[in-house]
Amino acid sequence: MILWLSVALADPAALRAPEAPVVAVDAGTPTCSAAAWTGAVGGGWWVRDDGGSAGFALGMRRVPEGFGWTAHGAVGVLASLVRPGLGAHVSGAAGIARHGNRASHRLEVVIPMSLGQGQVRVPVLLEGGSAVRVGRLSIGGRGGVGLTLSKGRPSYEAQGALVVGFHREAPVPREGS
Amino acid sequence: MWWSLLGCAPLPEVVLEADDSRLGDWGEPGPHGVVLEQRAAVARVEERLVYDWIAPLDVRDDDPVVLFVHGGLVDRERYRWLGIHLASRGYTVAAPAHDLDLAIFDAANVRFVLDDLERRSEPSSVAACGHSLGGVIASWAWQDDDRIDALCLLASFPAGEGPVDGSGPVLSISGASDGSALPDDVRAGAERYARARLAFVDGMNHYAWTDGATEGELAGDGPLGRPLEEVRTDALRVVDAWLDASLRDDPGAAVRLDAPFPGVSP
Repeated sequence: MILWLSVALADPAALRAPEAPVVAVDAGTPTCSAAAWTGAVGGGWWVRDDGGSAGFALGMRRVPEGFGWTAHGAVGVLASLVRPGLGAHVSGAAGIARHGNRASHRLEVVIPMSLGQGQVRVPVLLEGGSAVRVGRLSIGGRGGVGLTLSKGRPSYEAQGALVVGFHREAPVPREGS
Repeated sequence: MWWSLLGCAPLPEVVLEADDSRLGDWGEPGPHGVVLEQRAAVARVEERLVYDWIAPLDVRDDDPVVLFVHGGLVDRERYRWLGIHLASRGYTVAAPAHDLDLAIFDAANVRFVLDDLERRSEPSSVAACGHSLGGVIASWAWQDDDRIDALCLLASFPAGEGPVDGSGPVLSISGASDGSALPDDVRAGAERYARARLAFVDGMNHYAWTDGATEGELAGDGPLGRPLEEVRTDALRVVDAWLDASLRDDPGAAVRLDAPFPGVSP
């Protein structure tokens, strides 16, 4: 088990990269985000692709060795880019993951909640991601579907992103991987 | 995204000059000049929700508001003719955008737009109005939100079955030649409201409510039986009188609604 303490972003999608590289960039809809850390601590940025807001969060993540359960949690702040105002972000995710030497996969239920501007946002997403290692890079994708509970009727969500990670060290060949 | 981050939203545009010679009879443009602005509101904490704000040039804080929801897969810009008409008569019209032009994916957008309007002004009364699928969403908003006083369905009917909860007046108006919202379905839908007024415009089809109908859209629609401007004028005569009666408590409009309208059957 690896327990990561990192600074990531709200919605800290890059923190949910299939593995835990030094730097991860997640570009897609609805957010573009980056997470970076050295050892236990790092930092990054996040912005919605509709220009609605940007945020920052502190998160922790459990990454299994081989096949096992995975989880992460994050808290942070977000700022509205539409009109001045701050909000809070709390996200949690849990699921299963397989981390091999060359490829990693995960399937999680993700709840990246936020509140502010007199509103509350509670997305409930089924999210999957995969990445393959190419030297020090990992390249993969992320997709999620679900709905967002807020004022009135729910909104339906479909997300997709390209995820690129950079690792401090090249993978060590392992038998059977 | 980037123009919005840089704060480069399109500037307000005067789309109709004021003209006191326009008397504003029901079905005709009013004397007000009209301004169109694309505004942004906060939705679901994080999102930037863009909406058309179409208002009289001499807009007042307490002008009545019409929240408009476009039809499925039809851009809101294709209804600007209707927004400009209503604004020339003194109504402020707000029409939110939706992802993929499908309002059902973000049904609460119309309520977030109303939040934004109320942050800037104090509308005296509010109607929700929608075309086709947008009527379903408008009906939900009218049911869920006490701030919405009246409901106007254009070629539409409510989702589900059974009586529709909600108080306040309802107008269901559709084309007698509509090939998408069939007249029998529209009639059955209107009967599910406690206080619905029903009107069918002779020779009007589904896409006569929109500008720029495509060949594909028209292929699945009924025939337009009369010139477009003629059916729109007949439809607007009913809509205008109903809005004046419902949002302005105009007693003359209420009386007019009980008399026959040319080119329209109940």
